[in-house]
Amino acid sequence: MDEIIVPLHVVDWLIILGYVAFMITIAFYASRRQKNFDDYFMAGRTLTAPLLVGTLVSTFYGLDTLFGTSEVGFYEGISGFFAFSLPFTLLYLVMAFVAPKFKRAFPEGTTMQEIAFRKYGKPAGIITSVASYVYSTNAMEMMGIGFLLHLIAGIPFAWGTLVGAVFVVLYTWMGGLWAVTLTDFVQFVAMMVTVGIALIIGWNAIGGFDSVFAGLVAWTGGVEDAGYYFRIGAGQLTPWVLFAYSVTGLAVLAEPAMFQRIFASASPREIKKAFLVSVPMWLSFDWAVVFLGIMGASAIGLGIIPEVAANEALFAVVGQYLPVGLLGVFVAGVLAAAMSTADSYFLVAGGIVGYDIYKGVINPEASDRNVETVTKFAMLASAVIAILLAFTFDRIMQVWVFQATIIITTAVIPVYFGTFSKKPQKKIAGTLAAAFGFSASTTWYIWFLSAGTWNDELGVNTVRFGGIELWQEYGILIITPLVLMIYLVANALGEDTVSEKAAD
Amino acid sequence: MVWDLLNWIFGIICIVGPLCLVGWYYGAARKQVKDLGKPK
Repeated sequence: MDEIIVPLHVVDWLIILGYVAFMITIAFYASRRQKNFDDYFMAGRTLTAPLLVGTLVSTFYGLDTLFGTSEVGFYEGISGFFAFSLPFTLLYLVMAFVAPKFKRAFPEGTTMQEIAFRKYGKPAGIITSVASYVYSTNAMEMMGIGFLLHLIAGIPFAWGTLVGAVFVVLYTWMGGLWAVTLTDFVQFVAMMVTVGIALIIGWNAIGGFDSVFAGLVAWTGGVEDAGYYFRIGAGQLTPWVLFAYSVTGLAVLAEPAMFQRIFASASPREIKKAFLVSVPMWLSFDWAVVFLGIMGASAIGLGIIPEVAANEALFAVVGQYLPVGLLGVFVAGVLAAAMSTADSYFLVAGGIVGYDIYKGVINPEASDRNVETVTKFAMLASAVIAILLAFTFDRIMQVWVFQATIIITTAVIPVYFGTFSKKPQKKIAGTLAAAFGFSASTTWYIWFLSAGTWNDELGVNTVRFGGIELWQEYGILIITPLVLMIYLVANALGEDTVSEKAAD
Repeated sequence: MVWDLLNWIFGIICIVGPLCLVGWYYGAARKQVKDLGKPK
């Protein structure tokens, strides 16, 4: 066992164990009541706005936000909110108006990849499915759970990751989207409320802005550097850097787990309401996490907490100020944040193989029971891949940039043109666009993996090419316009379309 | 100070926002659980 960084009281442990028992109970209950694949994977397509709010907020905010965004707050101050969080939230707001249109266009739809299958045929559908599977491999959350168990229990990182994965797979295997949705709301309340309480108690206990600023001056060594913490685009974060950071947010437009929820909603009205209620929640959570990061840096400067790593600062601050019991709820909330994200993506990854590939391509006559079994085993495979990735990569941000690049360049253009164009789109356009997007983003990633160097100051992977320093993030900006051109040219020159009859 | 005020505002939304939704959620979840597995 390693050293415990955030020791917990027995009351806190009881709260965490109670939460774990609750999750298993819900999953077991749901597993006894579901009758078919639609019940398992789409929660019967009857999710109303309140259930959707919980699952949307908690699924799309996991440990990457908690550790990643607070780390940016720790180093860069409020730019963390404006550069990382705001672009995502604005795109979620866009989705509030786009999502109902998808639900209206495909009332019986199940996955985003299905749109590619229906509009362009099998090759485009398969390529989009592979991109979605890659995107849905959530190594980041697995690493987060391992890291968390290491902090609170001293369990070695590898074992913590493994324990977390087994638990998440177990209850998702049993309960499907029902269990995910029902537990997501509890997870949503736990993570939001405890982060809010930690922000208010911590900020005031340190002594408000003046004391926090004094702590930052002591931490950074000067008033000017401390001032950067409260200026947007300060220091090395130029507008261009902020822009490059925020482009990965475009992945919101083609999120497989989000599409699953859009299609599982009871109606277009319900999904729109859910997004509109979720936006202020996302914004507030981001704000709180960034400021907990800033408070971490300040608390080190003031000598309130020991000098810990940037991604441990949030925990150190919270552990300092939250009382016994509430700290247990906070840790349960953090576990919740990871699990609600991990379970959703495991389920989506399983559905891609079970529903899109197995039922859609290999065995269209497969029974619901068979599809569900394939989905569950594919989910298990996704967990194994996630664990392997978690053990392989030191910097998980690289994996995230790759995942975002692959889904944006492969899926966004075919899916949006296919859905919103009035005329039927040509098969070749979607197929070529998806194939080019997928192969170009994979090649780009291999290039950066083999020839890239990590820039610690900017937190990006770079390659020098003809005197220009390219960032890994630029892939989205370079490849996407090319995909658009290929799509438009192929659509203008192509002839075949997928007939509505064939699509059905 | 504006940052103190904003922290209060966002902190309160974090706490009160989800709690306001509990009643709304409870009614919907009860209905969904009741209907679970029933033919549509």
